[in-house]
Amino acid sequence: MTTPHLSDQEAQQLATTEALAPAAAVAHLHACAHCQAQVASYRVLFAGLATAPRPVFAFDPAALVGPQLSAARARFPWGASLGVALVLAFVGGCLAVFGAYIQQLVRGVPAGLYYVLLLPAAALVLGQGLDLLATHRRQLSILHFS
Amino acid sequence: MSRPPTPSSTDQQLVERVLWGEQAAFTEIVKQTEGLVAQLVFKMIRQPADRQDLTQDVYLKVFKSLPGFKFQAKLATWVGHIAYNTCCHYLEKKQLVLVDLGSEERDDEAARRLPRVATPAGNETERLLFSQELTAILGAELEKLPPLYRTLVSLYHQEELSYAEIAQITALPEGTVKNYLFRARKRLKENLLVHYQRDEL
Repeated sequence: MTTPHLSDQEAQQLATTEALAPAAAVAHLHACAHCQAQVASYRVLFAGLATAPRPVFAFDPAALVGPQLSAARARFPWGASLGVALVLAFVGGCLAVFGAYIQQLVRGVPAGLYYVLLLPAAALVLGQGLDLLATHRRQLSILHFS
Repeated sequence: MSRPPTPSSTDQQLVERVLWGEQAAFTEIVKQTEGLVAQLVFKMIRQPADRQDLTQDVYLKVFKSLPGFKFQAKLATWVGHIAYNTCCHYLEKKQLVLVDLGSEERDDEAARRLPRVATPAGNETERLLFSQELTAILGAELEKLPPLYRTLVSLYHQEELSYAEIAQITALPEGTVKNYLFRARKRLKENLLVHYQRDEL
């Protein structure tokens, strides 16, 4: 009966450390020249990778980013807040001026039609909201590893 | 899944100093993480012209997101994750492939058809290893790998990060990281052996 050679996975593990490898694999390695060559080639590869030159930026990242930090600091979104306030004021003004007309328009509408319009709209808003929440949670979990 | 490594107190101090408005503390963070970010940017982005903008983008994102850092991982790992994500978005935007599994299967098939090449043993191997020739060949073979494989190999073998840390940076399951690393090393070894065999012929 012939002992099967080490798999590539076992050879890689043995090239890293023999301590965590199964005893049978270590025993086979010590007895098999073919597998010793396999493990040796991985050791050569790993040592070569460890001693390979590391990439270095041709610029100084700290000097590059430094001048932009004050601009990048999170500030209160005054522009967006003003936009929201203007939109709310416009909608409020419209309701104040045309409120009576709108009430007259919807007075004669049957109740069933409300449900036909409102239920899909509510479902749509709910779906979008849940999707936004899921995206937000996913992004936060990516950033915080939680 | 293993617990993420706990952050050092230096990380907390550094972040607090940045949040108090001390710019020098952020410079310190940049200096500490520059090597890791360089590995990620160089291994994932081939276009040298884009690397500077990307690096700037990475550190500005780090600066803006720092108030939300929860110290559930090492600061360097968190910065690495932001760098990795930024590079992924860049590749997506450019419609470049992070890992082409199809080409890998083709390569595996080709490798299987190749005869085994005896690796030079003992001192001869070591002599070759530290020669400039091998370093150059290894560098060239590494460049042929898909960006994700190059990145994983560099993070593990050059930055000496653990599987758990690499999993945090890449947001891949630890098992997937191990599996990709195994495939990358195997492919790298096969390519190296092919290269030496061709030279011998």
